[in-house]
Amino acid sequence: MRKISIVCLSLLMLNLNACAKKPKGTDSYSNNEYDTGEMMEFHGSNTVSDGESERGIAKNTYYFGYDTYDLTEQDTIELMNYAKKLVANPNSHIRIEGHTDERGSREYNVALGERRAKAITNILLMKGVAPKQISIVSYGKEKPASFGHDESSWSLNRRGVLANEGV
Amino acid sequence: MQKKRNTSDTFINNLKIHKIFFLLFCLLSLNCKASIRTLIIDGGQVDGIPVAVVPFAQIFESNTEKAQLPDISDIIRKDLQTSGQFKNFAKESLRQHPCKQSEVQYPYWQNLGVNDLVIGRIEKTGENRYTIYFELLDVLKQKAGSLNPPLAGMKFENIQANQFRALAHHISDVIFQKLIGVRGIFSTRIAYVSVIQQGKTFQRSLEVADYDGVNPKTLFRSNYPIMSPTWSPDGKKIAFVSFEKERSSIMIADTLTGRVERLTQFPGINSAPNFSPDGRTLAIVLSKDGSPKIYTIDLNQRKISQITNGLGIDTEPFFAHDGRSIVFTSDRGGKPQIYRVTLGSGKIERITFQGSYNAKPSLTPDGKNLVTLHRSAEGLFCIAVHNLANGSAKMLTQTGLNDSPSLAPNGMMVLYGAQDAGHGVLGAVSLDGRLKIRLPAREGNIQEPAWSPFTAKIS
Repeated sequence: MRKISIVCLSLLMLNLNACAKKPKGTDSYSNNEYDTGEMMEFHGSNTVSDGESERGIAKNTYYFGYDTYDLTEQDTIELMNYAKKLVANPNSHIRIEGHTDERGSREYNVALGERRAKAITNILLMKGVAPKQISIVSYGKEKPASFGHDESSWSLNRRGVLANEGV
Repeated sequence: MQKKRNTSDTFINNLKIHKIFFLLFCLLSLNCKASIRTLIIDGGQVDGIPVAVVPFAQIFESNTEKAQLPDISDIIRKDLQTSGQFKNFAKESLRQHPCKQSEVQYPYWQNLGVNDLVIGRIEKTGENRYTIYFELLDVLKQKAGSLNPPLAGMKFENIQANQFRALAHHISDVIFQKLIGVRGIFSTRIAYVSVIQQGKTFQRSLEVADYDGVNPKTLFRSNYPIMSPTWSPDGKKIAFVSFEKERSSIMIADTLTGRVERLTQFPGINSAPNFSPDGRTLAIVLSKDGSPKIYTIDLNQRKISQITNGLGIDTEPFFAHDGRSIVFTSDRGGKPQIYRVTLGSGKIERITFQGSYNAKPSLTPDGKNLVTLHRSAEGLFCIAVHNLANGSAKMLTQTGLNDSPSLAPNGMMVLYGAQDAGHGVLGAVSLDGRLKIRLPAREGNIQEPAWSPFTAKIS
């Protein structure tokens, strides 16, 4: 009975270790408690290069579906994390640009682009970033990133872009 | 960087440049670093009233002088062809060249199938001073024996060489008014935005040209986007949107002096300007208080009034011609449609009921028809005209990827933005569907046309 309990407990501990989600880019196994050879199995490395340490931004471009201004859950989490950096540096300033694909009226697209920029802004504000740290501009369809006339280009143009404006 | 340009040389017409203009255009089509940007509107062959325009006789010596003057009949012929209302006769096919009514042999023209004949002559009265006569004659109703008076006949004195082009356009206006009964647009101008890629930057400029694209002048240059040019009713100002320093602002350019001033720069969107018919008010879009809403600004007192409310997007205001209401694009009902707000009462009603997307509204001068950017059932963005009385709509274009429709001041034609071979170009179509103009693909992009109001005539 005790052997089984120990096995079960060990299995349970291994399970818990496997299921734990660790934030990107941090060393989650600096805790000495887990400093054993078995930990080599769980030492992950980043598969996505986000340059966070270089630019200080989680990612600077976020993409949207046609006629929408919703952010994915992952993008929302990234932005919430980025907000912490802005809160920690109250003198820093960013500009958020909203863009659309080429279809439809130019002025309505300026308004749509602003919705996208504001969706990003709202996440940052919700996490305590001061409004004066953020400026918003919508370029509508005036500054495409990709110049084709099909969905592969359009999807690259429906975006919000974060630009550092320094202090 | 913004560069102001002196536009006082409004009618620069260096004849040598004009003569090699076509050659330059061909060369520039191959040259990526185009420094002179011109667009040409070429009319198509359309059945309409058969009108023959005879080359005007030049009643003076000096063949070099004759060769250097603009050909008035060529300009008139092209104007009439562009309107889509006339059947054209090629200059080379005309075997007789009368220059006054007494010289006209009517049977010849009747055999050609001509309904109306345009003839004229140019006399030299001094150094760079000319007198031009023209007559519009009814061929169809001319019976042997009697002589009907001309439908129109005019004499213009003291005309200089650099006024020939404008005079030709004026004569086209007279002919059009006489035969169609509607004011012609041949003396109007167009404003548009030009975008040329230079390496990694885009050079953008706001330009003004004759309605046919001749004589382009630059009013404003920037590396940032320029949007939504719109004319004041007296043709003296153009309001537009600039994005200098990464924020939008509404600017006003003086078309005569070239001077540009900033009008608004509120936080958020400053956009979609449109002048009231009396020129005293500018309708604009601001998002400073939340979502984009329609405001008006009194241009004298610079006082702002909010016109629409609510959470949706309201944009693209367009004043009705009596100044009492504004039509605009709104997605308050879910998708962009056109609504009308009555100033004063604030009453709002939806006015488009065809299609799932209507935007960029403009009203014909009689207020009966509304032109919009419209998404077809197949999802193509085309230009449509809506009959406001019965709610029906007709698509004027079919190929999609259109935007920015702009009505001619006589309500008969629409200029719009189109794509051709990867370039932004302008297209033109008549509201009665008779005329569709295809424009040549060229380097760079032309977009956002704005048709000027009627301008003062030459007296």
